Amino acid sequence: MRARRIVLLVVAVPVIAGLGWVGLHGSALSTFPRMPSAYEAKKYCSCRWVEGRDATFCDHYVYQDVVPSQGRTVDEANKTVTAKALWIRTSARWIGPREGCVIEVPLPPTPPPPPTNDPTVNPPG
Amino acid sequence: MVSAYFLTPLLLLAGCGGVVAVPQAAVTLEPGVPWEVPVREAWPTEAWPQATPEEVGLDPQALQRLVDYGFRRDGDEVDRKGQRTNALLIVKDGKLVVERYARGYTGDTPMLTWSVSKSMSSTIFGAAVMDGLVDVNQTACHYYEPMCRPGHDAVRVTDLLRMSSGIQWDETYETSPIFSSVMAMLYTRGSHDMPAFVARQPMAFWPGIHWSYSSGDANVGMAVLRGAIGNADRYHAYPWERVFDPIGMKDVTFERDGSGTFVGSSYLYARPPDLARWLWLILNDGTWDGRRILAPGWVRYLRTMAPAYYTTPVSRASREDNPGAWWYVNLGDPERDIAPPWPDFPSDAFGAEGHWGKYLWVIPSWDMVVVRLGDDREYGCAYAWQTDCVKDPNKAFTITLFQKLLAQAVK
Repeated sequence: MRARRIVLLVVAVPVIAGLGWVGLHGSALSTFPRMPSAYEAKKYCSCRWVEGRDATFCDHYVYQDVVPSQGRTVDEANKTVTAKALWIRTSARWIGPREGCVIEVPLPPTPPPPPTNDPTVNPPG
Repeated sequence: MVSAYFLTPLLLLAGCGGVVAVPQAAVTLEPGVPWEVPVREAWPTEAWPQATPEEVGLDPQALQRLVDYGFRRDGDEVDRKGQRTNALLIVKDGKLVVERYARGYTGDTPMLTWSVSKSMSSTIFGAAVMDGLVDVNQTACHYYEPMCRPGHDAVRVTDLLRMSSGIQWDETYETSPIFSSVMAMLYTRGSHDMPAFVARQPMAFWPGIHWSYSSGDANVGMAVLRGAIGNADRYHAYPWERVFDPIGMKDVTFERDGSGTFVGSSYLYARPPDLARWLWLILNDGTWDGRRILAPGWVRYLRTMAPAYYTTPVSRASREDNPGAWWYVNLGDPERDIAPPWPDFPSDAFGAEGHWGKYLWVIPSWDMVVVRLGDDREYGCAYAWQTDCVKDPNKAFTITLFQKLLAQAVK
């Protein structure tokens, strides 16, 4: 019995603490995987089409050794770069001479429809 | 003028997080600057007049030592070690004395300035105050609805400009990306709408009492400016019409977030000679060739230490940060035995700094402005607290050594 209790403590406490930690930092953790590809795409885009540097220079410029890049595709005609890291692809696009580059993000979720007073939709009570 | 305290109720618990209310002094813009602005014969709107070091009273040998130091390279593009200076310009008495580029950059390249952008954003605010569009004593909520939340609604525009909003923020960069607020703002959760992301963060302190370096405060500021101007087209044209064009800055790029708000914290790109023009505008109290560009008193305001600095415990890492209004000053805090961070510069020097080696300084008592843009991936040890730095100051860019070499050229 006592051994079981110790095993339970040793296993359960870190698991519960870990779940709590994930719960607290959930949004930071869940969105982090997009960061390396977004970082690379945005920086590469601005290096090439705002600063006007060549591909080799920008390769060195965006290199980071924390999360390995899984490659990138460059659409010269549309001044768009798509980088892949942590199995996520993110694009950045050059908009114009004043505007520079912007990360292309998935559209934010559609907000819920406004509340209505129609009793058939929102039964009172 | 208004110098009374806001009659904010004492010890009122704010609705959010139990932050205790503290009354804040209103800002009064006092015209003029605490140095004598010489009468200028020529303005560098089209081109910078040039001079030899001797003509402006600088020691040519000492200046050469500075330039040699700045452009010394020990590494290559792969290992990214050593000084990685892209541009160095020194203007004295209105004349360009040093102009040199490296690493494939030229005077025609718009270069990323990172957090120097904040100081430009502060400058643009100076124009907006001049135009009567913004009042720094007004709340951010007055101009930007997402700040109208309990707690956040007490943040004033001046609190944003002095990075004292009290909004919770973690300003770390590549070294700790997962929980960094600024990395999330720029690249993931915030990239579609950066000010909205910042406004969603909880309050950590009552506004105006705690200084904490925050790129978030800067971007809420850009949303405030957007709200103050109102029309999106006018907002997008405003920095060019009011600041860049009048002083001859060409090819400026000021990137926006996914919703079209300027990324005032980070994404200004400009040619180095144009950055020197901007510093010249600041040195000349916000006037240019007979025209007032910035509100009277704005330059004095931006180089006044943020009051919250004096009530914020100073950490080892922030000891050398003397915050003005999105600018850095060189005053220290004698009361707490904190020396000025730039010992070889006059106490009236102030500047703009950015990630990876961007240093711009205005030095009124030398009638000088300096632009040094680099892409340093390591730094020399300039201060006793610094760890993770290069011990030999010659082997990496070391801010204090650079300043010492410049001072030797002036004396």
